[in-house]
Amino acid sequence: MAQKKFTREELDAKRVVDLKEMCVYELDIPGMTKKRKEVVIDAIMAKYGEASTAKTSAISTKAEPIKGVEFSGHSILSKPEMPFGKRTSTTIQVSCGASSGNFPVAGRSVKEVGEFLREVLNVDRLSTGLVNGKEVDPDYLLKPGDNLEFLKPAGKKG
Amino acid sequence: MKLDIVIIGLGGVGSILLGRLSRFLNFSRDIEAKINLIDGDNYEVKNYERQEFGQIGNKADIKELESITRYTNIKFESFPVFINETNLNEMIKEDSIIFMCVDNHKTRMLVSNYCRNLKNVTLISGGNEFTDGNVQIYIRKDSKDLTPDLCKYHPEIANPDDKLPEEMSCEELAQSDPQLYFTNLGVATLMCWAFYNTVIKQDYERSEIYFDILSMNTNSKVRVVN
Repeated sequence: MAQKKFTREELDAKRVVDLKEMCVYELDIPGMTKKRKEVVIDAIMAKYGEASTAKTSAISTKAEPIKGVEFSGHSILSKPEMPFGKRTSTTIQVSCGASSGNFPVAGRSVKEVGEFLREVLNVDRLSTGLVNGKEVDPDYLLKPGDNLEFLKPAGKKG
Repeated sequence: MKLDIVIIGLGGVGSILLGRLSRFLNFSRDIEAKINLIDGDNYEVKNYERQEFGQIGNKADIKELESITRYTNIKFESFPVFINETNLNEMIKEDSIIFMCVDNHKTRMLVSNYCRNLKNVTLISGGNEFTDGNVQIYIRKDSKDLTPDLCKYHPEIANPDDKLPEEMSCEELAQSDPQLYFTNLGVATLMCWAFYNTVIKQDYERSEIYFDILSMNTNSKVRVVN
């Protein structure tokens, strides 16, 4: 029985929802459904990373015909002029305070997205960007699966 | 479960929160609660549209009197003072659950920084503007932060441009921006959610919740501690 191995780059390129589904349905790694992306990747790497020697029976390389595929994700029709199958883009959740939305901004920098969504999400000009809960450089390029938050000041009154 | 609760500020948010929290605690069989009420301010007629008081006087004292007869399973004690650097260590002890319902960032900064030196503490802080607001949750267990302190992602709290109530003149105290009762109610409700999730359910994943009445949205945040 051959063993499936992953590199961190390979996992990083996947969306967090896909990683979580892998944990549940393929890799038999419990407790990941509410974890952040980096935690999920660490768990997969610990069990199936390139350096790992752990054996598994969950992954098989034996070719079997695909009987059905269930997929869920966020995508929008951003390129209607393109051929069928290439008309949608994977979106990233961007939020500021109570406002949030999914936008096709993968590959864009945090700074660009802040400018682009300033009015939509009421992003302050000086607002810091957090990716997956961690402060990042304004030039950070967003990857599929990232979660971007622009910090909103705390309410003062009470 | 024994809970030592401190409510700092009994204005628009704190006076609403106290009633909701007391009802829950009073009728929870497994909980033995003591609530310390801290506020140096007086309830005045101008507060009547947002604040829940039956008489004029110091807010902490009035709320103690009102609460002891209504919620007999809880111990209440009032402290009619404003929090400052000199009385912090008397007001906040190890293992406290603190609800901060104040109207200035300088008090938030003082209390958050003080809590960073405690071993175990839960700090739930709420604040609002006219139609939106937020609640922050700072959890510290065994001298380790489980969620970020109030200042970590909020420079406006880390470097406040306002004053403590006792540093303000009478004119400054008399001037206050208008507030909406429903927004205070929203903050108090989210503080109750935060209490239930962290203290009762021991879920420490989310560290902040925002809400906006006009867009009818709430949004909770997961943030990295270090």
